[in-house]
Amino acid sequence: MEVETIEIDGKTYIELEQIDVDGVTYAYLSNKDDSSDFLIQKIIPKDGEVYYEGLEDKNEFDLALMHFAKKHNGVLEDN
Amino acid sequence: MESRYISIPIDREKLEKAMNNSISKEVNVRETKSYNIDLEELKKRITVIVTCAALALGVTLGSKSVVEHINNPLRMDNLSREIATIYYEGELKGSLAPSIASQNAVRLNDGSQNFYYNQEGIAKDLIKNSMINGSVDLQLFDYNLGSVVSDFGINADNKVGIGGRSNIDSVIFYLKSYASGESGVSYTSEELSSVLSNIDNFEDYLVSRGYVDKEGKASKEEFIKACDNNAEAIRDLIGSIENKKTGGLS
Repeated sequence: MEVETIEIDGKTYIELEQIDVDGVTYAYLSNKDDSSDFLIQKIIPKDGEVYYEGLEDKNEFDLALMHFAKKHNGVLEDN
Repeated sequence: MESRYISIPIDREKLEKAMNNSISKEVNVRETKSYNIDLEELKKRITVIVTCAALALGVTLGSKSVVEHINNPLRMDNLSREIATIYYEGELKGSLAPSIASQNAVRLNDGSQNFYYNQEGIAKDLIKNSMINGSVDLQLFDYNLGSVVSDFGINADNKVGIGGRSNIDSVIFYLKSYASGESGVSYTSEELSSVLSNIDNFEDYLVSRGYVDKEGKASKEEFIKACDNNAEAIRDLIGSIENKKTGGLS
C-alpha cells in the first residue's frame, strides 16, 4: 500500500491518515523507524504550498486523538 | 467473558512525548515522498494511536470500553452536540450540529487555522439553546455553559475580551446585558436574570449556583462534575423536547 512520508527534525514520518474535524485537517504521522513514536499536525494550505503546523494545546491533541480513535475503533477488536 | 487487551508498547511517557511533539509553534512545508507499507504494519501503527487515545481519555485498554467511552451519548462533547442539533435545526446541515463554542469559533482570515471566540454569539446561543416553553431552563443552561467551559479548555481564561476580560468572563458580561435588558433582548428567565444581576464574572456565577470546593471557593471542576452527573437528566429533558416536536409522548 502506498503512503506519503515526510522529514521532520531529521526523522522520517509516515502520514497514516488525514481527518477533517470542523474544517480543520489533521495529519497523523508515525515515525518510520519507531512505530510507538507519533505526532499529530494541522495541514495548512497557504500561497500554493501546503504546511504542517503544530497543535495549540492538549485539548486540541485530545480532540484529534479522539476523532482518530472514532474512525478506527474497529482496529482494537481485531487484535 | 474474558476481556482482550492490546499488546502495543505504549505508556504514559510515550503519550506525553507524542503530545509534546504535536504541540508546537513550528511550521514545516509538507514535502512528501511515496513509500510502500505493508497493511499489517499500517494497522499496527494505527493501533498505537488508538491505544494512546484510550490512555489520553483515561479508559481501560479493552477494545469494547474504548469504543463505548468514545460513543457514550452521555459524554459532554456528544450530548452538547445533541442539544445543539435540536436548537440549530433548520440553520445547519449535517447529522450532528457543532457545539455552541464550535459554532461561534471564528477563523482568522490570514491563511492560518487560528480562531477566536465570538463571546456575544456564545451568550446569545446559550440563552437560545436553553429555552423550553418560552423560558430559559436553568438546568439546561448550566449544562450548556458547562459544555462551553469544557470546549474553551485553557482558552477560558485567555484575557482577550473587552476591558481585558477573559473569554468566559466576557460570555458572562454579555449574558448580564441580556438579563438587564441593556441589549434590547429580554428572553432570559426571571430565575436566571436574578442570578446574573448579582454577579460580575464566571467565578461569581459558580459561587451563586453553589459550584464550590470544600473551602467555599468557586470550582470549575465541581461545576463540570455536576454537569456530567446531570447528563442523564439532561438527556431525558431534551428527549421530551424532541417528543413534543415529533408528536410523541413526553
